[in-house]
Amino acid sequence: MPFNKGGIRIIIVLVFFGALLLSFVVASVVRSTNTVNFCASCHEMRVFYETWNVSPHGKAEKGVIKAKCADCHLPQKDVLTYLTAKAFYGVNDIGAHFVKKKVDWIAKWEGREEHVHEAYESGCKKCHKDLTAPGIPIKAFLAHRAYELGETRKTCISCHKHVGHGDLVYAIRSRMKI
Amino acid sequence: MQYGKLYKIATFIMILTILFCTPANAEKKKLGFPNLSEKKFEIKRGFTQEALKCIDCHSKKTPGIVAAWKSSRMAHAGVSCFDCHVVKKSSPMASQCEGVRREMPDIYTSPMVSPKTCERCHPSEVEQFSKSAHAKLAGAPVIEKKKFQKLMYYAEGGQFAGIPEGDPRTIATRQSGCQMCHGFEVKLRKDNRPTDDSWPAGIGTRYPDGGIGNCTVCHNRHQFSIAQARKPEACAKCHIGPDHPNIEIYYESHHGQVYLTSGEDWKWDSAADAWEPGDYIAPTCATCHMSGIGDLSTTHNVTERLKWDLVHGKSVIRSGERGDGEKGRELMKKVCNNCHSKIHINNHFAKLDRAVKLYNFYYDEAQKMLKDLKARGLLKKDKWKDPFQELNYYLWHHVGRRARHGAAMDGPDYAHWHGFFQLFQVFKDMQDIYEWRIKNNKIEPLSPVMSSAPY
Repeated sequence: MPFNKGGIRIIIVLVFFGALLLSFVVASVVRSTNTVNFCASCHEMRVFYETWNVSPHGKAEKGVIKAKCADCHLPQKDVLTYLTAKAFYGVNDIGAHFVKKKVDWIAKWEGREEHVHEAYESGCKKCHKDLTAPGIPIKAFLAHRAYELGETRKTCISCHKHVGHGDLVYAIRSRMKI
Repeated sequence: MQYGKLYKIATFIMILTILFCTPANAEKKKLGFPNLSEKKFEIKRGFTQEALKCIDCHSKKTPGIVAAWKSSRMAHAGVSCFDCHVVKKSSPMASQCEGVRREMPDIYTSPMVSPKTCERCHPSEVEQFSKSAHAKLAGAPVIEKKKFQKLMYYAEGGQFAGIPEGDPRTIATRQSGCQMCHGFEVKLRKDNRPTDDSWPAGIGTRYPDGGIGNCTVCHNRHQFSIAQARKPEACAKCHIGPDHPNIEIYYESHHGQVYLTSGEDWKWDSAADAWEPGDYIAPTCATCHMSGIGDLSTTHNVTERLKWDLVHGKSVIRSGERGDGEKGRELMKKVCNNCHSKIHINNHFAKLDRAVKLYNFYYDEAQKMLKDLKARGLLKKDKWKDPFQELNYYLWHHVGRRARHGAAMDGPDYAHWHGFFQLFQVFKDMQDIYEWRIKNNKIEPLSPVMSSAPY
């Protein structure tokens, strides 16, 4: 036997505290990289930050809550999918930053380029739990009926296209002119 | 006594003064008569301040629009000008009317509203509609097909007779005819408003925001009435005339007879999917081709319940982008089932299938002759100067459709007198021309016959 009983105990205790320390570090990194300021620290994200800042979820007026980048742009289903997506996009975005990848956001927005919009329904639904809640205007009730009944494949942002970043296309175009 | 009299006179003068000095009277005096068309709304609930500004201004500027809208379900549901006409500044269709520019300079609007807007509240309807022949396929001839463009601009537009290419007169027939049913591609001026020739247009309109289709063809603006769209006249703007007399066939059918004699007593505004026999005694176009009836739910795909493609040359069972014909027949039988026995339904479709097969025989034989003449160089280059080719066109496009559609929707006069009775004669004329050309190995110098296949 290479280890005696005492040695195993010490190893278990060390692994336990090591794991605890690692989880604190991970949590702290997740937390610190989840802030709006962190996302906006890359210049590629500047236009998204600025447009978000004046959109409903950025301004957060009249009872609207402030939804930060990661609230919408990461899946909110469970911890595993959340962390996997976060790791994936983290690496992806840093890679794109360093290779100076050019993205034609307007072409994507206008459907001229294949594009999966990476804002997640689960993010919207975390807060917008009941779309036909009592007291909502009748037009909103009617508009959400087909969605609630599962009669359409449309997602929240198919109709609420401008909710996150307002007139993003206009903002990008004006920056290009400057 | 004297004071009393003076008092009375003074009061009288005062009343007169008040009467003549009120602003209302001043206004009346200026106009000479009251403006009855001008309605001032005082709506205090349900709309944002911006939306109210639109309603208020347009109730004066375009009272007809506001009058139609206020009686609509849209208005009852709180949907106003603002919900459909406001667009983002970056929209290719973004412009501003004088009032918006003055009162709300940050807001942009568009006079055009595409299905992309409608689908925000009616996603299923627009999705079904988009799969139907009423959307992209409807606009295709006018927008995409070279053959059709030659007909519109070169032939009908008078270029062949000397009007120069690009002359505004050459688009007159497209704008007043073709595009008003088929739709057109909206072109924009510098101020993002539509050019004076490309909008309004019909059901297959293609909008600059990518939307394809025009919902207001059947749900006329600004009432968007479900009752209106259920009446056969909603379809009759386009489904009429010598090439596809669908409304005429319907009026002639038993269904149409019952509609014409008792339709005014029917219930037209039942909720979607709940408009069932009993609300009506006979079906309209919408009942069979679209409505929720019995087991079937409502569909905005008007081609979904069809077996045959009865609009093109050869009649084939629908497939691919034109639908699933075999399934379509089963669906249509389910519609009939609500009012007819099995034997009645089967016999009707046996009649239709026989008529289609007879028509296809004539069509195939005609194409054989055409092919043969082409191989021998006995066709004129300009088909509109060549009686054989003209007759061939009328054979399928006018006469042949009347025969087929008459059989499909039970209009015997159209199936027979406007249909097969003329079909065999057009065919005989084609045979004679064919035989003469083969025998003489040349094309006859003048067009001996130009029957437009009377109707």
